[in-house]
Amino acid sequence: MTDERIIELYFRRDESAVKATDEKYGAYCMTVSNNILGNRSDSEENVNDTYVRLWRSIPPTRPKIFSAYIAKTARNLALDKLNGAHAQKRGADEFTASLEEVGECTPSSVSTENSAEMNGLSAAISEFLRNENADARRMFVCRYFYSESTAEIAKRFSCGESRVKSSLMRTRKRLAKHLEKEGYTI
Amino acid sequence: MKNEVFARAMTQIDDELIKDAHAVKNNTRLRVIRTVGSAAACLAVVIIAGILLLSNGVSIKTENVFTGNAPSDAHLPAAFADGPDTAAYADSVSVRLTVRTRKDVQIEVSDGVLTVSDGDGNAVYAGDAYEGKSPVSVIWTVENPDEEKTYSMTVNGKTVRLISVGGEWKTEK
Repeated sequence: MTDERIIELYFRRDESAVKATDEKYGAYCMTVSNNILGNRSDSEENVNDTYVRLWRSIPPTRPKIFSAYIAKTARNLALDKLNGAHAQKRGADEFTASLEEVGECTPSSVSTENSAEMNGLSAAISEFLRNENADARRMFVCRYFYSESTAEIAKRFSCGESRVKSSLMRTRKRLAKHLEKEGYTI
Repeated sequence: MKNEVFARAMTQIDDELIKDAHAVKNNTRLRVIRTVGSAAACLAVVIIAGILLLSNGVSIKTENVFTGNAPSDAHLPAAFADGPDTAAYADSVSVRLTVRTRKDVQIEVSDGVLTVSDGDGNAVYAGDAYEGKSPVSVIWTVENPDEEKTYSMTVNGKTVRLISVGGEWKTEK
């Protein structure tokens, strides 16, 4: 079923929309969740929470790219779980490792509580990535959005892991320079 | 959560960037082609290296051929300029050449005298048979050459001939 038809089911409040979403994107949603949470049971719960959030947000939202909307929803919910008040969760090893890596390009002056600042930072990162060459951009998103391991990324791009690691390192450095030029303090 | 700011900001990047990243699928066929291609390239390098190693690779470059009363001191290595082997030749032909080889240089002449300089321009030898490290510069001088005769120099098994064609001395390999 096409994404447009699935979204139409949401707009018509037809509950088969969730089933159709699960059939098409269930594994995808599970991967996004598990790459952050690191265990199956939490990830399954996150997938279900994602479907609930989709049902509640569509409509009025009409996602332009449904797969990206699902990934963002699942990712946000997974991050909330890691950050919860009583959470003692550590998250998947690769996700934790990827957070360590991005310290060199994380602005110190932005708060997650300030949505305007967060939107501005997201826009600056998006602008930077659009100007990067395709492989460097894709590797960066695979690592820091999808939280894939460098081995998985190397397999995806049919190259060695060392190439992935050096590409990510150079992209992080360029991002840090870009954010400093945009006025952020790293 | 460490660096949560970045994690949250990445969550909100443009949808096109997220979709585009996963447009690259794991291409097993491409990986196989690249692996086979790399192996073939490595094999080709090994074969070529083996051929070159087995072959008697030697480069002989003739710089010039000159005749006259004497090869001037400017043509001779400084160490030989005033030595007994640099007597002025009333009539002679000289060939200046450079020899490079992977192995040691072995030069022998049927007639005449070799004066050999090493790669740093230091005079190292005067005589009719030389063996030493590459590269070397050589001046081969034949006193009172006979225009009817062919003179030969052997360099690591390769022969350089000095012949007179229409009164002009030339080398051929």
